[in-house]
Amino acid sequence: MSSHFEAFKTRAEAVSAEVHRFVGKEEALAFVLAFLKEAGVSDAPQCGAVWSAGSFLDWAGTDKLRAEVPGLSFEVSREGSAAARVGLSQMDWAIAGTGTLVQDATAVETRLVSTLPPIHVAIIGGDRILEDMGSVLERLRPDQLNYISFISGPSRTADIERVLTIGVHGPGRLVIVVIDGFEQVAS
Amino acid sequence: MHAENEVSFRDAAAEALLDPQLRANFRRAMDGLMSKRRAQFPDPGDLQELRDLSTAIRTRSLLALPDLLEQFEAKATRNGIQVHWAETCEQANELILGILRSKGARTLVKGKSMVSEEMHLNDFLERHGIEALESDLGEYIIQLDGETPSHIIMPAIHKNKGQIARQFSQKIKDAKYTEDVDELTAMARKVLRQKFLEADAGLSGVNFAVAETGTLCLVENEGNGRMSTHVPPLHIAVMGLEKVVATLEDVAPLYAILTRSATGQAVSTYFNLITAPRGAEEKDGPREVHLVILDNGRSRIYADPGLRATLRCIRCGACMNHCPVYTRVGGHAYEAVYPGPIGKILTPQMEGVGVRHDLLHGSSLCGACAEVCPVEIPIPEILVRLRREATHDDVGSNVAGRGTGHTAIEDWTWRLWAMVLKHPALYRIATWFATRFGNLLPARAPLLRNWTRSRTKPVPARRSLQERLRAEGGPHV
Repeated sequence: MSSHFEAFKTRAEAVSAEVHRFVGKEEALAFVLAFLKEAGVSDAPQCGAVWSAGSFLDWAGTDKLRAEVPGLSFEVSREGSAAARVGLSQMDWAIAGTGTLVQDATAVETRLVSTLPPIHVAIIGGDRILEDMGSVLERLRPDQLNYISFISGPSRTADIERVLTIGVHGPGRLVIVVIDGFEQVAS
Repeated sequence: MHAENEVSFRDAAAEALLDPQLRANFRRAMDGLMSKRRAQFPDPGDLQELRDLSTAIRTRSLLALPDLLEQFEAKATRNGIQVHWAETCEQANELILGILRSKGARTLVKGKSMVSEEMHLNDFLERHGIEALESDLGEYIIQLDGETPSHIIMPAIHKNKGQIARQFSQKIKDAKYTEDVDELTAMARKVLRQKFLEADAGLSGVNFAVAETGTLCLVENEGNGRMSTHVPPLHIAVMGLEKVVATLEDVAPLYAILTRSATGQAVSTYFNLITAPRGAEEKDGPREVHLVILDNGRSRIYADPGLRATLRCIRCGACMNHCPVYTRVGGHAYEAVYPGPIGKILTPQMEGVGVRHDLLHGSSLCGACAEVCPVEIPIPEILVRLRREATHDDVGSNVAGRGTGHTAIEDWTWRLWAMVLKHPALYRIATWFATRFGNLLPARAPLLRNWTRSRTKPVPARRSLQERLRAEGGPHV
């Protein structure tokens, strides 16, 4: 149980992210499946979902999910991600002070699913929320990781008259699923 | 002599001041940016603490710059990033063209990079048959009109949505006229998304380069920076050689003060740490990552301890947002890649103080820029120093074009002035003429009007002090 959750939620919502908290992986999975259904994920063109590898996905089991959600794919490609409606990925850390998600994005699939589809669902264990960026950088060293992503809210711009516009190049919705009692394997 | 100097900030500024739409666009935007920044720094003590730390980090990084660059190159190379050095913009352009050609690349999609603006890379590539497309929304908007950025963070801020709506409806295929900002953004997204997927290469700038890990840090909000660096199969990054810092610990405070000072955000949407190209077993992501490190006069600036602070700049644009001159005339009046206060000291140092002498005088020296600068660059002090450099060929100075920022008329005026002051007889004759006939000279007389354009015409007394002392008596006559 993270003492930083409330601060994280406040800051993440301030940058237009949606934050949901669940106790246990089962509850979280039920939410994700309902969410995919509601988002209209199906095997029709442009309606798929792509989910990049992670310990939560390993637990949920790809075969079971594939059977349950038509259009959900675990083989992430550039083209597949660009055509998908929802991208799902697991995060490694979160920062309470700024509402930021942090991901070891060495595997390019994690970058593709979090950038190309219009909705990004980010999954993270409740005990992975740290206080600030410094605490994260102590644990996630780029010496060993090819690419690290810090994500705070959905894609945004204010380039036209400083009017805030969500979802310019990246996703227009960032849905964060925080799971208490989910002990992530350290990256 | 600067007879070749056809660029004149004074003329361009005068023209810009006559455009009420332009002034309104900038006023509104700058007011917004100033208040958003203020809201991020509620406690002046905390702000000063962060500024002190950031200034110290940048100063320390510059002190060790040659070593840090070597360390960075070694690390980045070991990580698989191919590092290239360019002394001039021409060399940098040729390097990038060479990389693109070696991969058979015909299209380049670009994330925002001011260094690439400095290089005029887009024009260069177009001339060599390679399409270079800007993907940052603001940059895309101005590229459609063949314009340059008017602000380093908000390149299209000189336009309002009506102007953008007209432009999109004319230049984007099948686009309808709308002033809805969400719809305009969606149109750009649609065009650019396709380009991202088709592009042979992506280009990005670099906000910080970390020597200890060989990592490139990229700050952005739109996601186009992420896409430029991992959707196309080739990634080329460009940066000025001053961008390197020693450790990852140095990055966190600089990043915090950058986003707060720039757009008044506590954090940018995306912050990407790029250390290596794709792994051997991966299907996507850039096969190669290249980094071009540009000098373009920075070594010369670096060599002068009095000017080195110019290189501390983290390109937040706060000095522009708070500048009373910039806010009124906008960025294009500077006719320089970097407008506003930082541009006023950087451009003359890069291009020569003689050539861009005009910029040095486009300032009231009010000091607002230095007051908000997150890394405490003494912009007014450097400006005054460069004004002197422009007209004096000081021994020991290394400033480009020093001593060339004056005209024959100025030279002769000063010579005459010195002669008059050196010879009492001449001085008496000159003051006699000035007191008797000085008032007859119209304010708009040639030469005099250069002075009176922005000042009241001096009114000489009817009798000189010496004459009065002689007539009315006094000591030491």
